[in-house]
Amino acid sequence: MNGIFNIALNDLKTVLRDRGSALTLFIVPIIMTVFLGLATTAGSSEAGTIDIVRPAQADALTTQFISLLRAEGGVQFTVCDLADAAAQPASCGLSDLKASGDLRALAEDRVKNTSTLVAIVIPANFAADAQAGKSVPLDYVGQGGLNAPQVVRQKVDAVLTRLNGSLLAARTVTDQAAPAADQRQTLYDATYQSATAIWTSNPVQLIEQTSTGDTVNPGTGFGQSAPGMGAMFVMINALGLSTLFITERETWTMQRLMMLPLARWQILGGKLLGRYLLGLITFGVMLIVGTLFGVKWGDWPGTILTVLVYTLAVTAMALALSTLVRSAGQARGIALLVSLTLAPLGGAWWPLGIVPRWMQTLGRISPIAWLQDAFTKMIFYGGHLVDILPQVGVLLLFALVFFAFGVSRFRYE
Amino acid sequence: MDFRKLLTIALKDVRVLFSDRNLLLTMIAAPLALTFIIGAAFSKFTVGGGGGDVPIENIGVAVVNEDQGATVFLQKLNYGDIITNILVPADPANPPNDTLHKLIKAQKLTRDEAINQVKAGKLTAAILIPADFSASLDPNKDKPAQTQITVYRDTASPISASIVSSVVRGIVNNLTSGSIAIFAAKDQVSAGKANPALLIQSQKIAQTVNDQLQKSPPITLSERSVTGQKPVGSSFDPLQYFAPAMAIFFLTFTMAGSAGGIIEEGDHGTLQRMLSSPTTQATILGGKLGGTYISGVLQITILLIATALLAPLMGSPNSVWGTNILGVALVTLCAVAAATGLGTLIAGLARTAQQADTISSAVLILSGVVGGAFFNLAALGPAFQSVSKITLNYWATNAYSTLAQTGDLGAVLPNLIILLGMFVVYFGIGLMFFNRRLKL
Repeated sequence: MNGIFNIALNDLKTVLRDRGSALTLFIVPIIMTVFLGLATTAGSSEAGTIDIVRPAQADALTTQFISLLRAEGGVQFTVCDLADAAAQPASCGLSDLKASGDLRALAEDRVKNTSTLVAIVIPANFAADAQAGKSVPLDYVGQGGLNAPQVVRQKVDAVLTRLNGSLLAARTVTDQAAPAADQRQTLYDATYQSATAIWTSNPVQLIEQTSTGDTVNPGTGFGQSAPGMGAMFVMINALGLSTLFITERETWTMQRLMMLPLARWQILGGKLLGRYLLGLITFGVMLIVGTLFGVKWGDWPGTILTVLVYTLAVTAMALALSTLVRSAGQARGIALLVSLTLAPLGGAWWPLGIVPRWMQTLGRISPIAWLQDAFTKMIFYGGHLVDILPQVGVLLLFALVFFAFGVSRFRYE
Repeated sequence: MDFRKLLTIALKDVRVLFSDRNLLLTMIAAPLALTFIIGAAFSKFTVGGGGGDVPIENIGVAVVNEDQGATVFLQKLNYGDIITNILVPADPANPPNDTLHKLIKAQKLTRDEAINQVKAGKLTAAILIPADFSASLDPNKDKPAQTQITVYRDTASPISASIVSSVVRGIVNNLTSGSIAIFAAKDQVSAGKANPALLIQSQKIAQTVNDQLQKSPPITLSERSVTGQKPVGSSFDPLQYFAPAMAIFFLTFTMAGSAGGIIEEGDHGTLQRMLSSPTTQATILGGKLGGTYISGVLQITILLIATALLAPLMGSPNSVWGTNILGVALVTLCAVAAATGLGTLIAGLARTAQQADTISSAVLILSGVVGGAFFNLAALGPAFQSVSKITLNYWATNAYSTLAQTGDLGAVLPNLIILLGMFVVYFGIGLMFFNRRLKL
């Protein structure tokens, strides 16, 4: 056994001594985990600004719209009233704005260069037209395509429902009451104020509770990204084993190893163990990163077992793959293709729950899907070791099949 | 400089690159596979076998209606039932063919069943309507009482659960608006500003407000994209973003690998043999980097044709790259130039082939992540989006995507200028280091 450990530790030291490998083993996975974690965490921190372009003199409805939007945006969105630049918070970045400039063009530029998420343009005579029963469109200018800020749209819609509800209440009540002409405006205004006050009291509150009992769970996105990125980079590094075998054959290192007083299976075992330990170290770092960003991993025995069997499965996969390639270039190409295909298919980049059902089924060909299933059960549903045994079983099956295939076809020379 | 020799060297390198089947895996197969995986995951054409309206479907939801109802204007009214009937189809086997029922697959359950199923991850959310819901909005009272609808959501499905919350909020606001109008009318009667007979019209007031809120609200939003791209809610096709994003991501690897090949030639001695022939250093370097550039243009062209041909077979309704052929050609030439420059810079800075390999892997993967090759950076806010602008991935992908959706070459001129600027800077610095190496 000493021989196996010596080969494994030697390989491990060689990789870890190389400063360059720290980039691909640790730095890049950590950065990707953080980016992906932040991208998939439901917004609880400040996300950006919303610009308002309005006439210099704000009517009552405009003022109410801005005030409601500020309340709805909370800490997540800062509402920047461009016509009153001096009074806006520093996060709006309007300190050097000239009041005489074309505010609409400025707002569009700010949207274009992503200084702000959205610009909402309030037309002149906003209150008068809305009260007169005219349809008043507000221009809502944002980025297109995937960069369209949908969360902002939801906030603006919520504000408009309130304003429209109050306007319609005032209009309908006034119409039905049919007061004398000189009383009409008074009744309209009073009804509008009543309706606005009732909306403000928020008679029906929508409370959101999460199944883990938190109102804000900072670990939500990282509960997906930390195990997902860990799994992907462990797979990428494990599949590098096929390149290693070919390079060692080409440089005669493997042949020299075979001259040592060691059985062939010990040499192969040492190489596999080295790569396996490297995978465990990489995944260990991802577990630490996840913990730092608030992931509650749940059942630790289950977590450790999942990492152990997953790393075993991909190490076996690397051995199987190494028997199918003939050159280092081919090994690199196939390893990249396999890992970058199996990672998104298996749910390393996004939760499989949001993709079509046929893709969820297809994703089961990836060991990452089974790992993510196990982690989801433990992180989000309070699962324990016994609950993830099916996933552990499938990962062990992956390992068994790939090892059987790889060992039977492996050639030492 | 001997251009005939330069071209010979360049074309030889292109031939070597494209005859290596292993390299074709990373140059062509990997980007194609990833494009279609990401496209299929987020494309609308995957919904219900094609032509659907929503990218996410069948979100499992339970409606727990504990509302006891109220007697309003001598009629038994139950707002909880109204919400339940909107969400849960009368015949679950044949739900209405509308966006709401494609998006949400709702069923009625008891509170315990619903919560247990959400906790177990079998349902995305449970909508809990309280017993006093209708009573709190009963217009026979002086003012509405506070009540709460709870959306109990699966922590593991934040995106789907937030969609459910939005849908519920919209339905509740519409229902509430009618009642609020009645309360406002009562306030006027109480204040002596309206005739008490107005209250006879209460039901009509509520109905009118509800109808108009849905059909002709006074204030509407006119959504427009400042970049000319379609908003997500319209017919945006994710392939128009991810096809170029993946093509550019893998292009950068080809360019770095190809430029780094000069170091390998130095290691193998072939570079020294070329330098000892009657060929100038500039011709050799020009040929090598020219070959790199031509290979990049060919790679993008192949990916462009392949995705354009395959996308319709998968049901994509749009042309992935748009119809402005000249624009696409110009973006390709500028993007490949910038990628060649970056490859030259990495290869110039690295001392060994292995170092070049390590640096390029790290730099290019990070550049892909930050440049938005794998996911949408908009969710991270403007600060992170600004960071993405230092990458050529952002500018090139944005140019292709904008062209595909708008066909407007003018809209992508800034992208072309920035890509060319990147080429000049990267290439200039990289060339300086290369020249030093060739002199050694």
